[in-house]
Amino acid sequence: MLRDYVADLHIHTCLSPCGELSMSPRAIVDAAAAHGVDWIAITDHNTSQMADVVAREAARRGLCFLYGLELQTQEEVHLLAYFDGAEAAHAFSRRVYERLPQRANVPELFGDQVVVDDDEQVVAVEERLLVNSLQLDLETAVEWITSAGGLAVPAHVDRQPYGLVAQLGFVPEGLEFPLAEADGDALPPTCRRSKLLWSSDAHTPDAIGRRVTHFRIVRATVAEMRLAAAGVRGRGLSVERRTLVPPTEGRNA
Amino acid sequence: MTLQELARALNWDIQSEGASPEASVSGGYCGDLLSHVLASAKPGEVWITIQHHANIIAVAQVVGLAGIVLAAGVRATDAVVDRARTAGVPVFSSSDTAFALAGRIERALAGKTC
Repeated sequence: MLRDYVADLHIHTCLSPCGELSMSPRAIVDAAAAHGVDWIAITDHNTSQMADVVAREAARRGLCFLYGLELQTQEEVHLLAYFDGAEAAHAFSRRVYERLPQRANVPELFGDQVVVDDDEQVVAVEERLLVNSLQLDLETAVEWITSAGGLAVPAHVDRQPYGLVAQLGFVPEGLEFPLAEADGDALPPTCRRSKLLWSSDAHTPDAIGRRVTHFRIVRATVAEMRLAAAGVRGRGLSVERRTLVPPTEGRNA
Repeated sequence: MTLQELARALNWDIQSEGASPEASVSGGYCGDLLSHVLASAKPGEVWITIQHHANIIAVAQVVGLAGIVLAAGVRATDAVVDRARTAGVPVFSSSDTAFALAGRIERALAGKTC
């Protein structure tokens, strides 16, 4: 049976150097729940290390969860990779990590890269800089994602730098994306065969749920995202920008 | 100055010959973000870049660039060479950095020793 999901499928955790330390699993799930989001994905740069902890927290709170990574390809294009299960996501994450240059993170310059556990205790520090380009070209990255059962979605295609259209001018011949994320109200003409996806790209809890995609699908899976993009049997999607009331004001009202 | 003369003078490796090596070069453009190149480069310019995704060939065609020089030792991939041959776009590779290339091209076009 079809139902509506309010999805925010681009969220960074405290592991992403650009993500605030306040982006703990509990804070992310709290903010999502408070902002009426019922389906989230964790998309840290080039890694899925933090996903399990957030997945457990989401399950405890009754939110749907999707595994994700935000890859930075050799062309410096940001590409989201979505997977249904932990196993596929982590296997993929290990594969891309081998293509991540061995440059050490400098926390003072780029930010901290910490892994926390269910009790929000820091259990590991990622030493290698995660916001770096993989030695992996766009086409191969898409092939790896697809062959692992995942869905490749170009991130913020219209953003400079790192958006696919900004970096490469247009969608390369031979590549087709069912969904493409954009900052703007519409996709650039070169992405006309894709459906528009909006997410927050949150690096702070307050940003979660500011831009969402409503999916009308049977269940929160990669396969259903593909069907929604194709408009199969009543499925579909639409985007929404929302003004959120800060929690404190909400309580006083 | 023709592209062929420039390539010879600056010792570039030919990655793909191109359809019109006698075309004259009007100037140069540096950039790795293809959207910027599409918006700002001018026809007849030689394009210095380290971006080696196959989309560079279409960008060179659309703008009408004289040719592409891959800087800092970057080599054309098979996909780039295939498309360059089909499209007749000249592609070269140089061990010079983009900075050094820009300087040398400007001096060469001004008729100075490069």
